[in-house]
Amino acid sequence: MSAPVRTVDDYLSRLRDVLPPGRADSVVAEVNSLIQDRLEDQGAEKPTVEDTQRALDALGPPEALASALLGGGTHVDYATQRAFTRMLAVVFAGHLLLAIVLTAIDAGAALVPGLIGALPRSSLWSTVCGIVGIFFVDVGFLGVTFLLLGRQRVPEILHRFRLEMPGTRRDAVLSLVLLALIAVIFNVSGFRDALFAVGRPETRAPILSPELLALLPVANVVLLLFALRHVLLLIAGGERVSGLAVDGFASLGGAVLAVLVMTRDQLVRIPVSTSLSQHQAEVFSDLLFRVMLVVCFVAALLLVTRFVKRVLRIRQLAS
Amino acid sequence: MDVRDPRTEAELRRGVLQLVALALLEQPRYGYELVRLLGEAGFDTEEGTLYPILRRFEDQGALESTWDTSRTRPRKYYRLSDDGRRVRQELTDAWRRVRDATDAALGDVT
Repeated sequence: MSAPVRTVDDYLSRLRDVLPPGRADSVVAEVNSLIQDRLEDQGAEKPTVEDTQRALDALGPPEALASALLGGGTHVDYATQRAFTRMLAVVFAGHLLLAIVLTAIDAGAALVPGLIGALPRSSLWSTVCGIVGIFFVDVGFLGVTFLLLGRQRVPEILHRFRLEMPGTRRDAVLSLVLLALIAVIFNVSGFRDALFAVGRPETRAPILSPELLALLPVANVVLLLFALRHVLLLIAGGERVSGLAVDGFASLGGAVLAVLVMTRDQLVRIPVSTSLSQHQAEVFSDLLFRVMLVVCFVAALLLVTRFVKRVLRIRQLAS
Repeated sequence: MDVRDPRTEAELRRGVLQLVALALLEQPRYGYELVRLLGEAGFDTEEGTLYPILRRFEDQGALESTWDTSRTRPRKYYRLSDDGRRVRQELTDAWRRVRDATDAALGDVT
C-alpha cells in the first residue's frame, strides 16, 4: 500500500471511528469520492503524499467533519462521547478481568491498594458492589484523563484505540525470530543461567528463583500462542478472525502469566558472596523484585487491553 | 494602510453560501464540481464546509442524490428536489429582504 493511499485510509478510518455505525459507510464513501475528485482535478497521475494531504486539509480534521455532520452536542460532541465510551469499554473490561484473575488465584494483597485488587467474596452482594466500584473508578479515571487532555485532543487519540490488528508478513517473520530467541534463552538452562546470573566468572550464580522458573511451562504456552498468531498472519497475509482469536488467547494468557509472576513470593535470589554482604544481596533482590513487579503490572494491563480489543474486533467483523 | 480583515468578507459570503449552492444545483452536480463552481462565482469554499451543508440538505429532503456507477470510480451527484426548490425560493426571498434592509441602513455610504 503506497503512502498516499495509506494517508487516505488512515483519514477515512479515523472518520469512521467517530461516526454512528449506521451512517459511517455512506459518509466514508462520499468523503472518499470528494478526496479522489480533488486529486483528479489537481492533475497528478500518481498523487504524492503532499497532494493527498492538501485534499485532506480541504476537508479538515475527520473529528471536526464528523461533528459538523452530526451537529455538535450542547456539552459534549459526538466524537468525544464515542472516544470516552470506547476507552471506557476497554479499560473497564481490562480492569474487571484483572480483578477476576486476582480473585481466581486467591491473591491476598491488592496490586494497587484501593484501585486494583481481587473482588470481595464474602457475599454475592459484596461481589456485585465490587464490580460496580471498578466501573466507577474507571469512569472517574477516564473523566480526569479527558479533562487533562482537553476535549480538542481527545478524539485525536481515539484512532489509537483502533480495533484492527496490524501486521505484515515481514512483521510476522521478525516476531517469530524474536519469539524463538526468547524461547531458547528461557528454556535452555545453559543460556538462561549464564544470562541471569551475578558474580565473577568463576563464581557466577543464577538469580532466578525456583518459584519463577516453575512458571516456565505457562510462559512456553503463551510464547507458542503468540508464535501461532504470527504463523497465521504469515499464511493469511493480513487480519483474519482465526488470527484475532489466537492473539486474544495469547494476550489473555500473557496477562495471567504476568499476574502469576506478580504474586510469587520471590522472583530473584541474589546469593551472598565475597563482594556482596547478606544485607546488600537482600536490598538488590528487593529492588529487582519491585522493578519486575512494575514491569509485570504494566504488561498485564496492556495485555488485558489487547485481549479486550481482539474480542471487540471479532465481534465487529462478525456483525 | 489596509485595515481590511479578509475574514469579515468571508463571513458575509459564507452566510449566503447555502443559497448560492442551492441555486447551482438546479442541474445535477457532484461535490467537488460544486466547490469549483462556487469558487468561480466568488464564493471560495472547501469540501469540509460544503459537504456538511449538502448532507444536511439531503437529510432534510431539499436535495436528491444518485450515484453514477458508469465511470471507473463511482461519483455522487446532487440536484434540487421539489422541496429544495421551495427552500431555495424561501431563502431567496429572505436574502432580498436582508439585502434591501442592508441597503436602506447603509443609505448613502459608498
